[in-house]
Amino acid sequence: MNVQFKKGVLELCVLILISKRDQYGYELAQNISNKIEVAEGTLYPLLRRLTKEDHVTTYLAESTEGPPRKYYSITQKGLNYMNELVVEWQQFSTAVSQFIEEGTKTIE
Amino acid sequence: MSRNEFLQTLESLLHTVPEVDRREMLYDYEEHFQIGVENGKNLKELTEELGDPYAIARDLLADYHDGRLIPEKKKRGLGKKIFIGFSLFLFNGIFIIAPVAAIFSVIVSVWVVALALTLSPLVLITSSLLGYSYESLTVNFFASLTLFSLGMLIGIGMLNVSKYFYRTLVRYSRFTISVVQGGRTA
Repeated sequence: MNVQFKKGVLELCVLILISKRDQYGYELAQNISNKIEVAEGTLYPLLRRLTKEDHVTTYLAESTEGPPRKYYSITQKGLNYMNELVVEWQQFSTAVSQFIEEGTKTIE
Repeated sequence: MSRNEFLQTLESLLHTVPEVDRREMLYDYEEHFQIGVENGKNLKELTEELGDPYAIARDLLADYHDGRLIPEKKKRGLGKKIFIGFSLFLFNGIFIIAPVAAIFSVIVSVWVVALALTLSPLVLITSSLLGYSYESLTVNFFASLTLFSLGMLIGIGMLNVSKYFYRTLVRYSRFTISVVQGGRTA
């Protein structure tokens, strides 16, 4: 899959996952890589950018073992942004689905 | 690639980022490894899943230098540059050049002395062999041995002194240039 394209989609997935509940980086990476093939290391630059743009905030929370974990939490601005992306994605995917449908019809 | 290799590669690729931010960037990956291990994964697996440190560094640097975090280097106008350049030129001309030249000539002369001492056995021994010397060959031999060792010792000492002098000079010129251009040292 095209890298730039994947990055855009990845951003949306990250926002959606964080909007459901606060998560730490490793958790988020697992949740995404379970379904999408992705270099997990690229999630952290993405998270840093989202944080910088105030779509996401971070806080440290103690864990039962090991060092404190950095949790990511979505902001109101992030929620608005996510909703915009969802609408865009739906329009986009509907269009692509239509192309596929029409394309496969003519083949038959 | 091992965990340490991964982190070291990433760290060296991020060398343009100031310490504080770089530590923060690396922390995310250290935490990732830590939690991964707690969840029963081995380090090799985790490194593979993280992917290419070069790609990661590219992402981090692109965002970093794009955003507000870039340490704005103060750009000086040409007029100010010329003024600072001229002041430094005067200052260097009056206070720096003379001592530097003096130290330099001392260094050169001591070098010449060291060289002369080191080479003196040649003169002493030849003159003695040719019968031009008032002293006996034995006296000349030991005298030259002493002079030769002295020359070598001074030479070794001077090597360090010269190196130090050179390094200081380079550092000072770099400082001068950065002052004119408006670097962090200014």
